[in-house]
Amino acid sequence: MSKEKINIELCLGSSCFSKGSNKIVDFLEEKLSDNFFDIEISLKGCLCKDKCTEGPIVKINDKLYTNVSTDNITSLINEHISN
Amino acid sequence: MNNTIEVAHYNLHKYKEKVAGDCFLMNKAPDERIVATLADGMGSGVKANILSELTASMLQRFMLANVNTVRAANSIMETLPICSVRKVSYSTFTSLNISPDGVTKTLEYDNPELLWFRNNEFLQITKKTSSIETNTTRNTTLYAEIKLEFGDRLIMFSDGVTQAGMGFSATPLGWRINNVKKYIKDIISNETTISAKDLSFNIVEKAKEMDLNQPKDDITCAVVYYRKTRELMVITGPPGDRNKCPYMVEQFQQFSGKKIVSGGTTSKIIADGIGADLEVDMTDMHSDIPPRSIMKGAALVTEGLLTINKVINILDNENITQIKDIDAAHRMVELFIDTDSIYFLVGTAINEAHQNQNMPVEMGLRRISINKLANILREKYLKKVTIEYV
Repeated sequence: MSKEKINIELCLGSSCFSKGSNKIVDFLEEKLSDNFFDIEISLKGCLCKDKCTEGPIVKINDKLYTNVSTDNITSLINEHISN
Repeated sequence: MNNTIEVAHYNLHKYKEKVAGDCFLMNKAPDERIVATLADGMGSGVKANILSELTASMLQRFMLANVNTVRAANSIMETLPICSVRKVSYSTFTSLNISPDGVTKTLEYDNPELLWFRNNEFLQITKKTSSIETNTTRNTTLYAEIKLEFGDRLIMFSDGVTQAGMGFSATPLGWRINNVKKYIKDIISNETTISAKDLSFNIVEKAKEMDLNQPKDDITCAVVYYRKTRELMVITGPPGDRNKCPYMVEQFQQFSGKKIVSGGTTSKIIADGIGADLEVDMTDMHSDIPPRSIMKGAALVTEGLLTINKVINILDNENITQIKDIDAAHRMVELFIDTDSIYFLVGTAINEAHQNQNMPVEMGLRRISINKLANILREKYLKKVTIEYV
């Protein structure tokens, strides 16, 4: 059976970066393999989504999330995992 | 004019000395002449430092004012303080007064000979001599006027280079000028466009190696590289009026030199305009500034103000002689250093999200940051800088 795949796109523009999107990258790179061992997650950076005031901005499987942090990113990813 | 006089130097102190006994100074005159002096004070440490600094500063003043070279040399010989140990007043020097058209006046006093390199050969400099009696001794200076062509280099160094390794069985008399020349020739034939910075660094490091990494004297080398101007464009910030986006794209496409795009929105404007892919390089993650992106046609694509403010910090404070490819800011610094003429195209749009007390204060002030950067590039690195706001 092929693994379930989740695409995560993180804004790494000035504003989101200053508000902690770099910490989310570190967090995901460290925690991903531990917490979601049966899911394939692809992590990609992107530039400004024109929603700087609501950053950090993260897109998971084409759904845009605002004000993301290391505290809520895990539950956001969980929303996309079937079962 | 499309010619550039690239000058760089590298210096190491004598082992265990805290101050340099050699002094290298460089200035640009209002008429675009470059004036550079390498002085080597007798002995080492503080005394040598004072002698060489004094000599170099005086020579620079004379040269900047275009005072007759021989007169300048004589004035210095007469005024240098006298060493209490050796009873001679002594700082050797090599001084250059280079016009933008390549005409160069040289003045030498007791340093290893000034080298002139063209097309893989050293050229002979026809020198005249001038002697002067001081209270204690009779001194002879050598002076000449030469005409540099594109690709020519002038290389000068203190005797810390030619005497490196002295006393060791392999090099009882040191490295010696002919071997230094052979070494320089080998480096340039391997890398014909090697920068002044890299060549001077290379020579000094080799000399240090010959002294078994504990320099027996101050080691300094300065290189002048006369060549065609290298141009760089930096586009940063979206235009105040979004109707000006096509103008920015057009400027990007028409510019023939290297191009940097700095800013997330800005790079999207350019990428869309030229129909290029834009991808964040996730292998370039660092804690303090965002990663670079990759886009066809641009030498470098970075985030905007965090990166630019770090670039300002590096250019202002760090020793940039040997930059390793560390992050986007260091990459930008490297491009600045290797360039002569920098054209900033600065968008004046304001990002409301940056006008927030929780954001770093410099973030809201693109124009101030760019002005600061331009001033450092002009004053500390002698770059030609133009800024256009859109």
